[in-house]
Amino acid sequence: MPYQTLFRKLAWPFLGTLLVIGIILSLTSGPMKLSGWQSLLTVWDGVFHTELSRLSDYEKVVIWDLRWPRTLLALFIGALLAICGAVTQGLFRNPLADPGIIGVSSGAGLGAALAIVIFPVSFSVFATPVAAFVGGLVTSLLVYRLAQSSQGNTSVLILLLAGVAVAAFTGAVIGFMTFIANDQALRDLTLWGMGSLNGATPFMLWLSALCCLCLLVFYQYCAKALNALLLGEAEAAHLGIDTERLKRQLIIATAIGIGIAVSASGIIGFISLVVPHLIRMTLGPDHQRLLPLSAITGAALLLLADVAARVWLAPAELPVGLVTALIGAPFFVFLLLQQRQRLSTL
Amino acid sequence: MMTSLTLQHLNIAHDGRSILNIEHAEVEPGEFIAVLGPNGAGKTSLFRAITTEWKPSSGSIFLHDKNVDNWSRRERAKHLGILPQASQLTFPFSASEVVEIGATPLSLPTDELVSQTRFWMEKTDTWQFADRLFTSLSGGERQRVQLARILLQVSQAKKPPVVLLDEPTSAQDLGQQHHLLQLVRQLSHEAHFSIVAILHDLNQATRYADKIWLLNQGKMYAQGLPQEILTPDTVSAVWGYLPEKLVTQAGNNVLI
Repeated sequence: MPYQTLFRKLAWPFLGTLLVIGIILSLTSGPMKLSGWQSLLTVWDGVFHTELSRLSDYEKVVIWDLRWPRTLLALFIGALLAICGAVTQGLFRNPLADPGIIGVSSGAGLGAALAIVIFPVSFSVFATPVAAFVGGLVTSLLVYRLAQSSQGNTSVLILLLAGVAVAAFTGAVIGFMTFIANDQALRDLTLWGMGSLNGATPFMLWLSALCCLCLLVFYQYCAKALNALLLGEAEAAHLGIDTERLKRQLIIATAIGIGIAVSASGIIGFISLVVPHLIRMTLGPDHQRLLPLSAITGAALLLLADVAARVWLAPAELPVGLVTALIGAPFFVFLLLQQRQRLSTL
Repeated sequence: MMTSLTLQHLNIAHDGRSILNIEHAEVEPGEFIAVLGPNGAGKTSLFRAITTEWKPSSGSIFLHDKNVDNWSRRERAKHLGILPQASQLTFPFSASEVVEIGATPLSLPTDELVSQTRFWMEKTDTWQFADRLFTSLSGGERQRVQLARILLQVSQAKKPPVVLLDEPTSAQDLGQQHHLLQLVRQLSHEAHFSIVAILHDLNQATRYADKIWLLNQGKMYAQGLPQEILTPDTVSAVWGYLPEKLVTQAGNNVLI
């Protein structure tokens, strides 16, 4: 495929530009119109303690305290979701095995929701990511067990149905908790259930940045083994890979990633499905390339989705999860159509 | 005499049922062994035991005089490759990318990887579709791409590697079957690879292999030179079909 060679050369500059455009748009869009250049200078000032920006003080506050943290959070969460999606699909050897669709995100959401309601606000800051991780991990292990057939294949049908079951259960529990929650918790729950990048506390920001970085490094280290795993588990073992250990490590790492993403921004669907798939379609499935490119594309896409969520009905603000679902759900249907041949034989 | 592969008092059971029982068998460097036997004789189980996928209930398997369990996974992968019967791959890798996955246990620099990949793809007659999607290839073409992957995997072995082939000719057309067996034979005789291949065609086994392991009902029924073992009587005893023996103009025995 000759076009792939060209695409591979252009991928980094193109996606880099897209990311920069996303950052500028994210800093400048909102009810208050500010110049892109001055906004960037404000961020520069904040990071390097200089005095270059000519914006007034309250404008600087809007940029530095509101829009910049939100931009960063979108960046990290977008990247995190995309790489976790790519790895989950590789692990299950199936492009439809998205953490959102197979129920891992819902499981993490359930954990997080329980923590929000049960613990007092001061404590739930720390408890939420942990509870989300536990919820995600339990769901991953459960789904993995369910979907594993005796021949070592994973059944797509079981994967998707497990997702439906977990999502239904989570929906019911969260619905139930809205009745017993107090006012503050209720507001947190509703906002967060649809996915929002509004709540960028410094703690969550640092946590997601750190997690994103660690996972990128760890996943990249596993990239070759993940490629081998796509051939089949027995084949990967013949290539010298400790497949049981690899799977265990990847499931835990992904549960951490999804847990942190969900506790920082709620359930934002479809980024983890759409992004790796787009990269695979245009640039091939090699994980060494797929993972970093998914990270940057996921970051850019979530930034742009968040901008759309803010300007669409401005001054009102849509939950970003609504926007990604609007783009992602049709894409999922397209994927199903594409895979219909294969799925119908199951 | 140093052997590449030694089976010692090997007993394989699965789900509590004894499947295969081999008292002693060995493969020397540069030897091409054809494993023959009716369905259910234990051929694939033997491969599963050698690759440590199944743990034998008793007995041991030695790869270069060292128990297969005592090798590090990576070193073992460099010295022991297996060609699977079918592939589960559904992701859109190109044929050459599939071959490159064979280098997973190796640490080849990029230019070396590229040239090695090309070398083995040319050997297996797959280079002409290196850029095509693996999933779009025919069964026989995929099998040869997988063979190139396995050969790349063991290409950097410090001692003569062992290559297990599970029905390598099953999806090939007649010309490719002979081309492939010739390549495998050449690798064993010139590069001292030890080849253990499950085959179905007795005449191909006679023509290409150095030795035959004839399995029947979970036992090593006979092992030795093809001409001595594949007689109408043994074939009749194992497969329940009495063939006719012909001698070709070149003086080779053929069973039909």
